[in-house]
Amino acid sequence: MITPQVEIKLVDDREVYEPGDVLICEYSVLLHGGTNDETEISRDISAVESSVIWYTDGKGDEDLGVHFFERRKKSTLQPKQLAETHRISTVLPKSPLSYEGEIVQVRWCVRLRIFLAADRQVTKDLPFQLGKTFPVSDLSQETE
Amino acid sequence: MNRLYSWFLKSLLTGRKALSRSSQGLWSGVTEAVLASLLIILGILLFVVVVAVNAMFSTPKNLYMSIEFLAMQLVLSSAMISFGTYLVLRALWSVGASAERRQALASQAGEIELFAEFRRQRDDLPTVPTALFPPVPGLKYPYRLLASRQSLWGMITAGVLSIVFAVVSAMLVITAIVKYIKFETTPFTAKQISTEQFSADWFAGALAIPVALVAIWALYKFVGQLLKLTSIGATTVEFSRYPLFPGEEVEIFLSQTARSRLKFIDVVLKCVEQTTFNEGTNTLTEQREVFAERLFRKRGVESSYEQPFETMFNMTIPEGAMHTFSSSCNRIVWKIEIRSQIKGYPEVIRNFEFILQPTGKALVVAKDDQQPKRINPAR
Repeated sequence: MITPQVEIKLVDDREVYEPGDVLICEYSVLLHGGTNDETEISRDISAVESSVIWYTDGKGDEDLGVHFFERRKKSTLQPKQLAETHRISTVLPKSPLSYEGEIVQVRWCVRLRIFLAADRQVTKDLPFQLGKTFPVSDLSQETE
Repeated sequence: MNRLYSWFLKSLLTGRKALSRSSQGLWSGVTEAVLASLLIILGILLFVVVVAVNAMFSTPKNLYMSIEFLAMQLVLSSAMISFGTYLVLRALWSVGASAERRQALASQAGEIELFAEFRRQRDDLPTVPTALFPPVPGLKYPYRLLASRQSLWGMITAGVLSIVFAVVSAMLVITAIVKYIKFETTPFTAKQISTEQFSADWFAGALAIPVALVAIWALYKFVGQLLKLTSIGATTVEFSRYPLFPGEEVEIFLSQTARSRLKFIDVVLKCVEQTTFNEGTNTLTEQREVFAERLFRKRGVESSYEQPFETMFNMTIPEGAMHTFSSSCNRIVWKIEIRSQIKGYPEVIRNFEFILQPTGKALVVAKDDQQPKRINPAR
């Protein structure tokens, strides 16, 4: 079974973005597996989805919001195109800001999902921070 | 049954599977499939029976059912089939598409709405429920906050429950007594009463006991809530500005009427995290207070309905605080909690939730000595 490798990076190499900033991300799908036959590997890829999302973490069930979404279908995916760097960009919203609470956390990431044959998927997340909210422990210092 | 209902309601409203992540794949899938299949089968059966009965027993001049009843049956069966089919299609869709794609399409579907202004606000500040807790015009300051209605709804629910259970228990008692009296006063009839009928009287009497206990419990809760609501009069909280942003200072006007002198009044700014999660097949909600700062406290407060206690104080929202947040299973709530008590009455807690909007600008990290401090809101 051949699994394509994914390279994904934020163009300006920042970890923290502010609302209204433009996030630019580049990714490429490397078709190196147990064989050098790139056509064979790319034939297995049915779609590539890239998204900029926020999701909740912590004790509760996960909530997810999609700010940006792009789906590249098989018909538009040639082996050469896959290996080339693909760029996505979006203006980040005002909310929700990243947050590290006690039982609720809000996180942002760029998510790349590759759909393969036999219902297999390869997913890669690239986290980043939107805004600056202080951790609860910083705000809540016991004085009494 | 209650758990199934809870799951069904949550699933219907949020489009999510209301089961724990570990068991989602099995139990929610099975329950949803069973529910969808039952709905479709029952809908088809109802449709076939209604059509067949009408075809067999109706004459050209006289329908077997009235037109209204026939239409109602057909609409009901169609609704059952449609909803069951929707559940099946949704289950298939959830299997075949990624979570991001489903969410993206749901967002696009949300664009088709008439209220452009609401959409603009929602798009401007996603997950910040700006339309919630709208203030009304105040007297001292422009924005008067409205108290949370939780206690009022709790009282109404307890009142309705107590009435319903009291009526049911009374009916059961009456049934038992009437049959007992009939048995006692008409011995000739009594001889004709079978043992089964006689034991049924005792069954009604026995059933009345737990029902009456529930009615008493609900009445106790109702009275408790009523005392809380009536012992302390109206609480008024007004802001000099609204909405609020982290780092901002706002002036607050507080007015409190009461039946008599208050033992104390305590005002605390709080941030609470709320989350809904699943444990087994139970849906649970947990909340954790993550920030508390006392704004005002006074012991021995003179107040009456004619001469309410009034005061003004300032509140500063901590710089860098997380904004109000609301999604399907998680919430971050900012509120002003006011505790007060009259001697001999239970303590009354009133909550005034408000929206804290994100700054949308880069924040300067405050020094340690500028950080707001947490206090223990001792009673």
